Amino acid sequence: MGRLVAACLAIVLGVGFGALALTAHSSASHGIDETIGAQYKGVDAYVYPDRESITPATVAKVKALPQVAEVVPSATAYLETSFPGLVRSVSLPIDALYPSTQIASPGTTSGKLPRATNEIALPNKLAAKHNVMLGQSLRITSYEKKSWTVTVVGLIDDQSAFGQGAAVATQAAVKIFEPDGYIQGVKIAGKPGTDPQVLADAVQKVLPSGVQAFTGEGWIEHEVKQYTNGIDVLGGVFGMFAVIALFVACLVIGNTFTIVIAQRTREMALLRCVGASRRQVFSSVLAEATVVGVIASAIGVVFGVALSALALAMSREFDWGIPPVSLHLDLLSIFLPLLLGTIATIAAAVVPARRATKVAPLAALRPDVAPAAASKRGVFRLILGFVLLAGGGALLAMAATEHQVIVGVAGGVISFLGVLAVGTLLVPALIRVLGALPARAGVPSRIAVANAVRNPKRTAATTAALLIGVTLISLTCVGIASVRKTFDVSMDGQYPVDLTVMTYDEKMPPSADEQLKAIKGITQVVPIHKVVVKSKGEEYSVTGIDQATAGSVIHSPALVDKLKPGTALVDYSTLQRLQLKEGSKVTIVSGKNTLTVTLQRGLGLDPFNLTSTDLAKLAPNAPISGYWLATDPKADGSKVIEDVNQSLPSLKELEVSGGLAKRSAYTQIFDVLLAVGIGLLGVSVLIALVGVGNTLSLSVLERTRENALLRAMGLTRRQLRSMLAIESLLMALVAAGLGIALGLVYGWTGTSALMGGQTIDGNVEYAVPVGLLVAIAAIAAVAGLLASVLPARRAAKVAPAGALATE
Amino acid sequence: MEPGSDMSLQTGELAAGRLPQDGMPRTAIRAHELRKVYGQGDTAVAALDGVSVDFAVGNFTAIMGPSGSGKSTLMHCLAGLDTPTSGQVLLGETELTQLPDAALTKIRRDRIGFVFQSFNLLPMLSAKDNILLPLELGSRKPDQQWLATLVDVLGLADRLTHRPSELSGGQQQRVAVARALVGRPEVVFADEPTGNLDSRSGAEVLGFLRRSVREFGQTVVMVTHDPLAASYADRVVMLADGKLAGELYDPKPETVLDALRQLGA
Ligand SMILES: Nc1ncnc2c1ncn2[C@@H]1O[C@H](COP(=O)(O)OP(=O)(O)O)[C@@H](O)[C@H]1O
Ligand SMILES: [Mg+2]
Repeated sequence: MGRLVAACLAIVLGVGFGALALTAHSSASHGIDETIGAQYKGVDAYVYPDRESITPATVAKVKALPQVAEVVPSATAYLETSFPGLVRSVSLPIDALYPSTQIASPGTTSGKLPRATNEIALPNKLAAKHNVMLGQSLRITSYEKKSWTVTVVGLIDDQSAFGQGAAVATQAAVKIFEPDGYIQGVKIAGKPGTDPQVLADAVQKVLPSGVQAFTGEGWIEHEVKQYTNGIDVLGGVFGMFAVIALFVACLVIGNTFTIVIAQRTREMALLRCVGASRRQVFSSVLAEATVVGVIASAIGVVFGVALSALALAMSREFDWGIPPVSLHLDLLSIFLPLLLGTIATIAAAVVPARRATKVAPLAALRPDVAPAAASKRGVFRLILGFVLLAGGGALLAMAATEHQVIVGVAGGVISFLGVLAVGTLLVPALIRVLGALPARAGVPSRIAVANAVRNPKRTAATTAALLIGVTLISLTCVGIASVRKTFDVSMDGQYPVDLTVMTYDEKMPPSADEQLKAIKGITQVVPIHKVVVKSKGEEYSVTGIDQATAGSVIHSPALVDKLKPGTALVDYSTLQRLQLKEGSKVTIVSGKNTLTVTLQRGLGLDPFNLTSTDLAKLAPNAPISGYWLATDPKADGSKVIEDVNQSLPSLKELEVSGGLAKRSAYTQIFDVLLAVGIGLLGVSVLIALVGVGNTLSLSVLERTRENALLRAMGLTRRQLRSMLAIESLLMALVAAGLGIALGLVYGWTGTSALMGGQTIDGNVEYAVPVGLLVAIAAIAAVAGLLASVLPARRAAKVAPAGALATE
Repeated sequence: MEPGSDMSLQTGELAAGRLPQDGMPRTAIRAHELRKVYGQGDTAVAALDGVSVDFAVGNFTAIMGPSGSGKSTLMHCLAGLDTPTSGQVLLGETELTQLPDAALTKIRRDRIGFVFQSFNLLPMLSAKDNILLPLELGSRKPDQQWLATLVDVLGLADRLTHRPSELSGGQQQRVAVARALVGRPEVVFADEPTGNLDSRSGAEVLGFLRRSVREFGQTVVMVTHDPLAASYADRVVMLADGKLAGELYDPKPETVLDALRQLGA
C-alpha cells in the first residue's frame, strides 16, 4: 500500500481536477439561473419582439387584459455623457424604470432610485471607474445633440441591473431622452391566482404576429440558455481536459502497479506455491486497486470541491471580472469523478493484475528474476507501432493538404498511439543519445544513463504519461501561434494600419504628433495631409503620406511597394464610385494645380492615397488632417484605443479607427485560449511528473543494494543524488523533446487543416513559438529534477552497511 | 589444494619488505575500545562491546566467531561503512570515527577495498567498468600495468567486456577482488568472500587474496566462519558476544576448529 501512495496522488490530482471542473460548471450555471431569475423576479409572463417590434398600442392592449395586474415595458435611451476628467464623451445607455409592486426593480447599493426626470442612478462599477459621487451632476447628450443635466441620486447593484452597465432613469425621463424608443420586451405580472400559462396564452391572443409571449419561467429558461450555451462549451472543454488528466493518471497508476507487482513476484509466487489460484491472485490485485481508487478518488473530490470553493471566494474577493457566483454542488459533480476515478484505477490495474497471475509458483524458489528478453508480444507491438505511425502520418499529410480537420484528428491520434507503441525502442534510444553527453562526465552519470534505460518498458511507460501532456501543450502553443500568425498576416492585408486618427473640420494642434507619441503603446506616428477635390459633384478626400515613413505604419509590404510617386492607392468602393478600373490614369485638379496618377487597388487605407510629394504638387498647403499610428503588439489594445480616444483635448471630435480594435480582440481571445489550454494541460503534466517521481522511488527501492554497494565503493551522497537527478532529467527531457517535436508536427498540421480553407489565398503561416517551447522544455527539466528529490533523499539515507548486511 | 603449503616459502622473503627499519610491524588499521549498540533501552544489543585490535601492514587476518558475535559489525566499523557508538578507529594516521559522511566516503573510495559475500558487482556495468569503479568515482587514472597484472593473475582477460550476469559466481568474486586491489588500498576488507562459492572457486579466491598479501604487500582483513578459509590467513582474531576471545597465528584448519570449540560455538 505504501508503494502506491504516489499513484494515489496521481488519481487525487486527476479526480480533483474533474471535480473542480464539474463544480465550477454547476456553480456557474446555477449562478446564472439565480442572477437571471433575480432580474425577472415577479414576472409571470414576458412579451418578446421576435420579428416585429412592440408598439405602445400593443402594450396598452396587454395592460387592458383582465388577468394582467402590471406591465413593465423595457426601453432604453442611448446617450453619451462626459464624465469628469475625460476629454470626450462616452456612450451611456439608460434603462427606463417603471413603478411596480410585483415586478423587481434594480437594487441600489447606495442612494435611491430616480423619481424625477432630472435624476439617474448609475451602475456601481461605472461610477467607481469615473469617480462619480452621489449628488453629482452629469451632462448627457443624445445623438441628435440635445443635452440635459441630470443628478446622480443612486448607485445600482451591477448584478440586478437590467442590462450590462446601463444606468436607470424614470420612464418619463427616458421618454424625453429618446421619444421613439424601441421596446425590447414587456414584463407582465398577473392578477393574484392567475396561472402563468393561462396568462401567457391570453397575452399571446392580443399580440400581433411576430411578437411572442412566454411564461416568466419559460423566458428565464430561454435567457439562461443564451449564457449557458457558452458555459456548456467551456464545460465540455474542461471535461475533455479532465478526461486527458484522468487518462494520464491511469497510465501512472498502471505503471505503478506493474512495478509493484514485479517487485512482489516472489510474494505472488509464494501465494501460488501455497495453493492460491490464478483467480485469487487476480482478484487480490484488483481488490487492492479498488481500495486505492475509492480512497484516492474521494480525497480528489474533496480536494477539487475545496479548490473550486477557494477559487470562487477569491474571485469574489479580488474581482476577477467574472460575476460573483457561490459554490453550488450537485450529485453529478461529486459522484461522476468518484466513479470515473475508481473505474480508471481498476482499469489501470487489470493488465498488471493479469501479469501477476502469470507468475509461476517456481519463481518463488529462483534466486533472481532474469531480465526478460524481447518477447513475441514486444515484437508484435513494435510492428503495430510502425504501422500506426505510417498510417497516422499518411492521414496527417492528407489532412494538411486537403484541409480536413477530422482526418487530422484521426491521423494525430493514430500516429501518437504509434509513438507510444514504439516507445520501448524509441525512448531508451533517445535517452542513450541524450545521455552520451553527461556520460562522459563520469561514472555516476554513466550509471544514471544505464539505469534510465535498463528497463525499457518501465521507462517508456513513465515517459509516455509525460509525453502526452507535453505533446498536447506544445500542440496548443504551436497551433495557437500559427493560427494567430495566419490571422495576423491576413489582418495586415485587410487592416494594414493599427490606428488612424482624423478630424474633419478642425485644425490639428501643432504638437499633435508629440501628444500621440507620448501615449503608452504608440510606437510610430506618421502625419496624413488631406485635400478635398470634386468630381461630378461628389467630394473626394485625397490624402498624402510620406513615402519614406509609410512603411513604419503600414503593415502590408505589398501596399507600401505600390505607394510611389505617380500612383494613387484607391479602395474598391472609390473605384466603383469613379467608375474606373485599376491601372487607369486620372488627372486630379486642385485650384491651379493638376496631377496625373495611375490608379492602384488599395485595401484598408484611405479612399484615395498619394505620396506626400505628389500631394504637395497638387496642394502645397494641404493641412494635416490626421495621423496613422503603429502600436506595440504587446500593449493592451483596448487601453491604447481608450487613451487615443481621450487624446488631443483641443479637438472637439476625433475619429479613431484602424485594425487595432479587431486585432486586440482576437489577440485577447488567443491569449485566453493559450492560458486556459496550458493551465488545464498543466495538470496532466503535473500528474505525469508525479509518475516520474513514483517510478524513480520504486526503482530506488529495487536498487537499494546496488546503491549501498556504490556507497561502499565511495559514491558520495551528493553523487548518488545527482545520479538520480540525471536519470530523472533524462527521462523528462526526452519526453519534453519528443513531445515538442510531435507538438510542432501536430500543431502545424492542425493549423493547415483548420485554416487552409479559411484564408483568402489559402496560405497558412507556420509559427514556432520558440520562447514558449523553450519554457516547456525548461519547466520539464526543472520538474524532472524536482521529481527526483524525494527518491534521491530516500536513496541517500540508506546506510551502506545496513543494506549490504541483508542476506 | 592443501592450504598454506604452496607459498609458505615466500613468507620470509616478503616479510622484509613488510617490516619497517626498526623491525616493528607497522599498523594498517587499529580499533580502540570499539562499542556498537543497536537499538535502545530494553531492546539494546551491544554488537561490539569494547573491542581493541590492531592489524599489521602486509598481514592477512581472518576474523572468526559464532554467528551474531559481531564480525560484520566490526568490519563495517573498521571500514568506515558504519560509525561505532564509541571508541576509535585509526586508518594509518586518520581517525575515522569523527569524520562526516562525505569524508568517510572518500576514504572508502581511495584507501579501502571491499569484497562482499554476494552482490559485489553492478549489473549494468561490464566487468572492466566494475573493476575501475572506485578509481573512476574518484577520477583517478588506473595504473595500466597493475591493472594488466591483476587481470592476468585473476584470469579475467577474456571476461572484461562481460556483464556480471554473464559471469560465474567464482568469476564475479574474482572481478570483485580485482576491483578491491586495483587502487592499491591500504586495507582490503572481505566479508565472507567465499560464502556463496563452491569449494574450488572459493579456494581460488582465497589463494588470490593470500597471494596479494605475499607478493604485493597488501593488507587484508577477512570475515569468515569457515575454518578452512581462515587457514589461508596469517592470523585469526576470535570474537564472541562482541568481545575479543582469543587470537591464533599461522592457523591450520584443525587449530582453528579447536579454538572455535573452546569458544563453545
Ligand atoms: N542493523 C542492526 N540492527 C540491530 N541489530 C543488529 C544490526 N546489525 C547487527 N545487529 C545485531 O548485532 C549483533 C552482531 O551482528 P553481526 O555483526 O552481523 O554478527 P556476525 O556477522 O558475527 O554474524 C547480532 O546480535 C545482530 O542481531
Ligand atoms: Mg555477518
